[in-house]
Amino acid sequence: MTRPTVMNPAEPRSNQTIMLKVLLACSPGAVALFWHFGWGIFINVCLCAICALCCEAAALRLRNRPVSLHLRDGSALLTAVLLGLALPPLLPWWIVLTGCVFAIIFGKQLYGGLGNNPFNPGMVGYAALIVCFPEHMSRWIFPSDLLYEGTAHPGLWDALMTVLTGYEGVDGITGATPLDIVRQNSGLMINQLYDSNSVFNRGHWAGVGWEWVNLGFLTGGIFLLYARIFTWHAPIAMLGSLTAMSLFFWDSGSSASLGSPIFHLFSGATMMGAFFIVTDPVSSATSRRGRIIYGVLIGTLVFAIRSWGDYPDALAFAVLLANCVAPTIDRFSMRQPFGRADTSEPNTSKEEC
Amino acid sequence: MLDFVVILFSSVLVNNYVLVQTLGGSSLMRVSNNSWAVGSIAAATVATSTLTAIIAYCLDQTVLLPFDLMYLRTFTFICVIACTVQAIKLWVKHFAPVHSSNLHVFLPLLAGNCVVLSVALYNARSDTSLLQALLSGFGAGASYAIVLICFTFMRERLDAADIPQPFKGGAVAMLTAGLMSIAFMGLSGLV
Repeated sequence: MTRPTVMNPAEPRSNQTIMLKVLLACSPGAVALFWHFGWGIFINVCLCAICALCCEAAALRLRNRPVSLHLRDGSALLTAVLLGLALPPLLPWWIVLTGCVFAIIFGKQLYGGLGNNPFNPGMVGYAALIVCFPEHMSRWIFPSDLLYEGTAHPGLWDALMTVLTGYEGVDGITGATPLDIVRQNSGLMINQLYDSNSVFNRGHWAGVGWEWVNLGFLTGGIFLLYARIFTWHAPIAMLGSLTAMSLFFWDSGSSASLGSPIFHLFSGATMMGAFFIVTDPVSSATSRRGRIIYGVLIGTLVFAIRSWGDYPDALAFAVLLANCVAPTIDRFSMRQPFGRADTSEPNTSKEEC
Repeated sequence: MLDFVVILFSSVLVNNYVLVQTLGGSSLMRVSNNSWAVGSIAAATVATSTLTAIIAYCLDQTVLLPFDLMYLRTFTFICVIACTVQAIKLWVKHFAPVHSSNLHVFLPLLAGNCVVLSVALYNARSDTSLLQALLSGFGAGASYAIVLICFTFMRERLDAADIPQPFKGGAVAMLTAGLMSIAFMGLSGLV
């Protein structure tokens, strides 16, 4: 059976180094998120990290596995950081913990831990939360550039109190994300919308705040590509198909427009997804050809769900749907080794396709 | 034309019979650990479901409705399914004996697959045309087939995984089906 492996078997490196590099590559995006959305992001990441490490340790302990050895590989921490960055800031603590427990226990440990999970654990947690708590999960606070005169994001202490004790204090500073605004637009041409809505007219190319967050994740992703942590196939295929879909449906900005390619590329979780979620070596397809199909599928689904579906940002569902299909893609995209006609046995070749 | 595309798209993806309406789960769990037979079973399910939908629709329109025998619907449709499955079995045995042994074990599960029955009942309850009945029958079969294929290869990958002892086998298969179901919720609203 095709088992996911480290991406470049010729050069064995420990999981820990890879995870550390990926965490490092997250940092530009994380800093941009922190800069624009305040301490809520920091608290989310910390809560997720603590909870994920505890869950992982408990599960390993129950299974009599060496706890510190497995904790040190950093995969639980990475899942937690990505989930924490994806969640809206200032969520009540119990929602964050629910998502994190679901991600680590149901998404990862019940399948046997690192290397065995068929679904991306972070996205399992995110999707479970958006299905269970849609109202909380769609309330993003305004980026700092859009706050009214005299208001500011809560400081560390206030944010912590909001998260731990209740959610009422943040009503004044939450609002629709750029994706929501374009989705719910009726009657305004895209140009008018961009002129009239401060989310767009204070931004440079795709919506204030979000463009820099996506640029940050893009930078990190390019670093990871340069460091050969993953191959280019899946992320480029995903971004390419998202661009192609949005170009195909782009009608130069009528009132029924679904958003320009640049808007889709730099909104929501696009870049984070493309370089940090889609490239997950465990739950994606394994062959190169398979990864291209996998990426194209995710890009197409992201555009379809964003444009016509019920959920505002589609990345988690698109990734989970592609995870469902990944073993099938693998099965049909592996090239048969030369001289072997029999198909009854699963192909164990790791040759590039 | 657009209606027909919508019917297919809806029954295969958005209102997937197995993952969204949770029908045919028991058959899915039993069948999906045989990757060698998955192609034959998927094809047989599509054929059964399409044929049953057409025959059940015709019987409903020509016999049950005119004689006011609606209370016999479930019984009649079950008989139709049993006969269709038997006919498919004979056909396969005659024309494609290679697949005959593959299918032999699973035909009872095919007959007991509630996706097939439910699509016939849905068609009878909602006011459909023959073409719509055919398409929804085909869509139901295809939705089961797609989930079956993905699920089978997923389970094949899980067989190699280091799953905790209490969750091996059925438990983790149910968990996987649940997570796939969450994934399919993301498609809601597309039609």
